[in-house]
Amino acid sequence: MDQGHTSSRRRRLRLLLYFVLGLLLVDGVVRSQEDRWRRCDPDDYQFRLEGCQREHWDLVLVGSSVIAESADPAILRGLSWEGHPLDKVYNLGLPGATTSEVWHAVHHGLVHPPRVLVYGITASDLNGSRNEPHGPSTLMTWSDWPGWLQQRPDAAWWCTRHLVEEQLQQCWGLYRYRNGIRLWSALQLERCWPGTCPDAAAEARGGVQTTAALRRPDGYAPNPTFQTMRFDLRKASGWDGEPFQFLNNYSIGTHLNYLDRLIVWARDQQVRLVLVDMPVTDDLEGRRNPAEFRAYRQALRKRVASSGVSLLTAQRDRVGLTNADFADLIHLNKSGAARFSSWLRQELEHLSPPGARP
Amino acid sequence: MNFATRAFFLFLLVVLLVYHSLRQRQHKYLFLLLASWFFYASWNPWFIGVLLVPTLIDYTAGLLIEQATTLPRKRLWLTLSIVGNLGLLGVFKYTGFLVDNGLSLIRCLGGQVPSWTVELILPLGISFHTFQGISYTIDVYRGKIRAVPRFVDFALFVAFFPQLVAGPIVRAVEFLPQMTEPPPVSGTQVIEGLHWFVLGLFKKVLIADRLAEFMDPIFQQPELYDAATLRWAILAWAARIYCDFSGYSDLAVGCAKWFGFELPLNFNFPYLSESITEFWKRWHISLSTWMRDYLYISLGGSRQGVLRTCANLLATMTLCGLWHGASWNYVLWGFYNGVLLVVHRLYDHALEGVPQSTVVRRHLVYRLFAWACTFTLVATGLIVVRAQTWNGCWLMEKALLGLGTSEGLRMVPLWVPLLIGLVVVGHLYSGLKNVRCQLLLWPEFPRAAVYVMALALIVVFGPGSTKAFIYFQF
Repeated sequence: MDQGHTSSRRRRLRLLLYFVLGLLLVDGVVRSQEDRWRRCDPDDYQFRLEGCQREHWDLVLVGSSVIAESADPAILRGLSWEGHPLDKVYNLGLPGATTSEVWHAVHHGLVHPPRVLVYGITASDLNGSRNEPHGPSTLMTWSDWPGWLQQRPDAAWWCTRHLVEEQLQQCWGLYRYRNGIRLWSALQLERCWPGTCPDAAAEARGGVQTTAALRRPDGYAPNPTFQTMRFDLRKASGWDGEPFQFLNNYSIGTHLNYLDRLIVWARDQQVRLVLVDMPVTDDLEGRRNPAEFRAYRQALRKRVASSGVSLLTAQRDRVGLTNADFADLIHLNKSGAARFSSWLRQELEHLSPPGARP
Repeated sequence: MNFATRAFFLFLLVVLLVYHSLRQRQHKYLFLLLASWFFYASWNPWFIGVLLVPTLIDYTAGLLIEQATTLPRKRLWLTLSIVGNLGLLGVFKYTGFLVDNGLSLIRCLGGQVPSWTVELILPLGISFHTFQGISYTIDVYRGKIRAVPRFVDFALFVAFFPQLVAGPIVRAVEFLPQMTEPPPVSGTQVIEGLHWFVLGLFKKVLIADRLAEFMDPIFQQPELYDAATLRWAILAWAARIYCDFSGYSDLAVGCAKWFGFELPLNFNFPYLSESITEFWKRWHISLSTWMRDYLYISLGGSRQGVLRTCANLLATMTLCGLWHGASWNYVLWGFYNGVLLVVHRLYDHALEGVPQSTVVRRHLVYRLFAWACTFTLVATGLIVVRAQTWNGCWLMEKALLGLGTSEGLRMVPLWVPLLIGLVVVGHLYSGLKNVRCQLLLWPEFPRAAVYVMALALIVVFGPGSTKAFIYFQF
């Protein structure tokens, strides 16, 4: 009787053991193929961060999508700084990022401090009502958490929740890469039996293309849709622009503390930090959100005055931009990006310390 | 807090850890009760009041019935309990329906009435916990069980979170004896709990929710699709409602096992039924047996002649339909099922004593024919429940009977037959062998491999956001 009981207990334990081992095995297989899943479901923050960490850059451009779309490293490459060309230029633009994300990207991405760091900033970067979940999940580690609690106590619970969720996801590869596995499977199924899951397969193909673009050595991967769009033509056809939610409930909040940290970091690392007040359409800053832009510029100027950091104001007329150079309310298209990059190159060369200029 | 969400997994983990770390009976049950109330309040804090009122009424009524020395007194307390529960159910679930229909009737008769409607939030699971309370006081009245002296024990019986919002409807005679002492959790329960939990998630997240993505738009606008697509949508709906509801029951059974409790079987491969009577013995068993024991038998059952039996069946099934939802679709569906049960009963009655009838009815060809007829009749009823408009309902019914048009969109992704096929395989593999789940009899290694694979499929291919269980609305 006892023996039978013990053997049935052993059998049950064996099942549990097999179950746990099975889960570990699946996890191991999934992790060993992670590049396959990531290619179908790219995390742009992670790709850009990894690209930045790989090398020692001379000039790094950071900011939100306004910099990701507008600053072409190919045009900026070779600009003269203190008598030497800046040959290695990287675009670390993070779509949707606020100043908090920019700080964490700089903190973790710039393993070797560059000579010049350009931060293309705009009003939405400082909006205290905004929190970008990508930050805690991709750019932050637990070592950043106490700093966040100190700098942004208003968003402490939000950050903690996202950080914990991310850490838990990292424990289980299958869960973490579930979307990538699903898309990859759809791609394979669609190859064997066309018409099985066309939507998912199209999404996967889009992901693979984005991954290829994100893996460009200089990090510049503008959105193909923005490249060809023209704001003036869209307006002429009666379109009045989609709601721009990034300035909703605008308040200059605690993101500003991370701007201070960035300034201090640059000083400590002897990196020349240049802030660029990015160009946006007149529709956005003049018509839709004038009060928000006024508040932002006031806060920015105050910080610049107290810290001595260089500020370049990329006003549309100074850069030579019209609505034909914008894709939408805030992003530049291909011609706009070329124009802005050339202007930035010129301005940076002027900023270079005079004694050292060739 | 939906069962198939991360929030619920976290909640379950914490509750299990704390519950099993507590030592004393009263602490364990008090904690489990508070956790169950928290679970219920997480949908809407006001719901707690709707749970507490009938709990207090039934707890007090149970004690008073037991203490009463005369039959009229006992009857008085029982009536109060039943009226209290049904009154609450009526107010929250049927007020809007009654007011709307009353106003429509007055308008039809030419009366002038305002165009307002009554909209009350329907507290989750109210149909389940009120029926549970009624069964308790009736069982105390009938002397089947003793009244529960401790309020916490009774409240936990009503609010035990795995079965609180969508059943199974647990009877006091089944559950209260398990509560005498906190039941120890055996190794078998841990494993079986895992089995039912994974199976329930698989049915809900992978089959029901995925099929919903296919069939919802088709039921929305059936006139856009050809008859073949409509037939697939009907099959998908049949598979979906089964997987959604039995998936919830499986999850509830699995969770309860991890606390050491056993919940009753709620589904027994209903689509294998060869008659409508058999179908109702296999579908939502806890409700159909409740209806049988507390309504059909109370009305006289089958003891007062054929006519009265038929009337009792019709009344019971129409009320069963109304229990499912306050709309004419459900009333019609319940009545339709009542008619089918009556016809089948009369058919059975007519064949009694006919020579060779038993031999013919056991023949494979007859059984297959009976199965096909039963499934078609069940599907016909399910369309009535799901259709958005009466016109759409008619189109679907025509398609089911092979009368639909071949014009319109044909859009049946490969995974739809695949998922429906899984339900068929499940029915055939376990149902035909008359075991609860054949997988439970497998050797450990392949069984564990199946659990791992099922979990992997759930994680990867389950829709991003889980839909609420269909039976929550009841």
